[in-house]
Amino acid sequence: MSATSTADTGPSAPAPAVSRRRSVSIQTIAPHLILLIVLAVTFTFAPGYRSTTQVASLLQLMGLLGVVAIGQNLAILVAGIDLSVGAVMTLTNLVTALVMAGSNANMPLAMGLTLLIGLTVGLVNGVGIALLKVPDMVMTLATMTMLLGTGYLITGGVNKGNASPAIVTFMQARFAGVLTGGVVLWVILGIGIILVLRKSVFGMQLYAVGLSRRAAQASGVRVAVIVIAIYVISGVMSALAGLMLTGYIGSSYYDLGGPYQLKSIAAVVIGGTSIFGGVGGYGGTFSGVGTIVVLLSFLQVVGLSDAGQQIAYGAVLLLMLILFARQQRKN
Amino acid sequence: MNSLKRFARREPSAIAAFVILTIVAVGWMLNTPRLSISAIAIVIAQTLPLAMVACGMAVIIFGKGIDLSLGMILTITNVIIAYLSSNGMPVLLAALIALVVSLLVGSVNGVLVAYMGLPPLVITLATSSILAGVALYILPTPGGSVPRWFSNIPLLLIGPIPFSLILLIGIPLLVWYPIRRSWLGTAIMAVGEDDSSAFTSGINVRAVRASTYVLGAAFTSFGGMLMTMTSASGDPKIGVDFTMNAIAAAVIGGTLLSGGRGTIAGAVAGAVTLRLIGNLLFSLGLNGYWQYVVIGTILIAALGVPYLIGRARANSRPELRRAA
Repeated sequence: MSATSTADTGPSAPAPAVSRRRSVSIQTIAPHLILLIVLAVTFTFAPGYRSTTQVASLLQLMGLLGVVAIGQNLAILVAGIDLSVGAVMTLTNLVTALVMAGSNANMPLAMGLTLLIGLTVGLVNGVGIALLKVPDMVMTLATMTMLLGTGYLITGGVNKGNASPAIVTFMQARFAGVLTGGVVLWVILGIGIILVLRKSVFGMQLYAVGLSRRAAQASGVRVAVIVIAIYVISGVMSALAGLMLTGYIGSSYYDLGGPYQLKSIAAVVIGGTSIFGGVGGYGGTFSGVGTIVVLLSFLQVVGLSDAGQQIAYGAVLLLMLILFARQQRKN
Repeated sequence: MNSLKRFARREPSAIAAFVILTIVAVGWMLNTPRLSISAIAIVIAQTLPLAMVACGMAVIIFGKGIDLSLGMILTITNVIIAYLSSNGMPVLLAALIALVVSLLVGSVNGVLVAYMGLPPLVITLATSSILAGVALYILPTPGGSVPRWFSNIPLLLIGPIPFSLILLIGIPLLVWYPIRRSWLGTAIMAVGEDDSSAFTSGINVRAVRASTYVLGAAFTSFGGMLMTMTSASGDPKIGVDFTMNAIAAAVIGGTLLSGGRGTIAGAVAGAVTLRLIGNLLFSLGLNGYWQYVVIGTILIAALGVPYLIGRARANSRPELRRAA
């Protein structure tokens, strides 16, 4: 019933939608402009990147980050955050490499376990946040710690097992010049989430929850259900990215997923989604993901050390927050 | 006695923290063979750094903030002292420089959050990334050293009393107690409870909120100094676990994440509890990594269970629900 009422008011009240779009127009263009600038600089000063091999490897990295960023994007759209994404990736990477043991026969088991990890973590996060009212940040920080501990307990800190040839082929074999299976999967999922956010009742209710939980609740949106669904999606996306990571690397290492925690948040923020919730979407995040990946590998190529990369990258994120948040605050 | 009763009424969860601490401590003592003063001194010395960071985190949470860069502020203090000291600088001067740098970082966080109105979580995550890079520049791999007398400080015994115990109680008491009794302490709690009513009663909300980040950085820098004494060297990855554990310690110690409520004593008790849980698991013969799982569970329970109890109570007594 709540669904139909929201669907009815949507098209019949175009005025707020238009004004919102106009007021965030800079934000919707800026992420793409930034990506273009970063690409132009990279192709000019690091000509090596113009080869198809290099473009393909950049796209592979974008695929990994892009899939994690889907869940993170949804969490941030409801003014939440998911700090457990990197730990989910790490645990999935460790578990899948262990059960695959280098054989295609074990793929179904590995995929089943991936789904199980994602669903379980997402459900625990969602229930803790929506029903036990544990703040998003602390809840996902707690599950993150638990997952990393579990990863250690399973593997004892040493990497065990190897990826199945099938997933390695899926992630690494190139076709049409620069594409790989992982990249195509990312683009399909990304377009899918854009359609869900723009066209579905779930998407509309999600934005409503992001703008004001109380108002959404009052107008009949089941806030708890939306929040739990978002964290379940985030858990499953992170687990999927962990499985992709296993194929991309070919085996498992401890805490391979760790850096994706900050990267995914940065991609979403640079993509123009408001950290205060309710404004933004995955269209900008596509460019945010591209910017992060290209920027980081450019910094690497120009010879900046690991230390310099972390500094540059923190500084860029800080700059984006200062630039965007002032405007977002006004809305 | 009367003041203790008043304290218990105002901060029931701090009392709960001390009860939990007592239970865990007794469990640990019963399971530790050859218990001695020096064994206790070592445990307290190992707890000190986390206890300090937990105090810092608690002060920031009192003002309704959060700081995910505290772990990295501890790291920065550690690598600066180890680097400068092994290059011939007197260690106390090195510690002073590290403290100044930490206070600067705290001020930057404070200004970005309080004056520019940016969300503390993401801001401190970003500064944390910058600090991690700076730490790697100063000390790319673990190394450096400090004089032996410096690293022995926490293990000193003054008569029968471990010096580490004096530090554990003394530092928070000396730093926080005077502040809590002054207008600033009241202002921090007021800002944490409600921005706008604090503003209406004439409090400079921005300055007070920014000051919590500076205070938090100061506590954390003390923690970094004590960590450097204990480890006797520098490590650019030393602070990774601290942020999460400090939040857990503050929450277990009864600090409300919604701001305006909590005690520093509770945060210290929370830190000791976390440490003893790790030691207890170890003496029970469990793999050390179980402590991550246990601490995560305790954290969720510490936040979720009171909410469920509160709701159950409100459901059974409708007049309470209306009041809430």
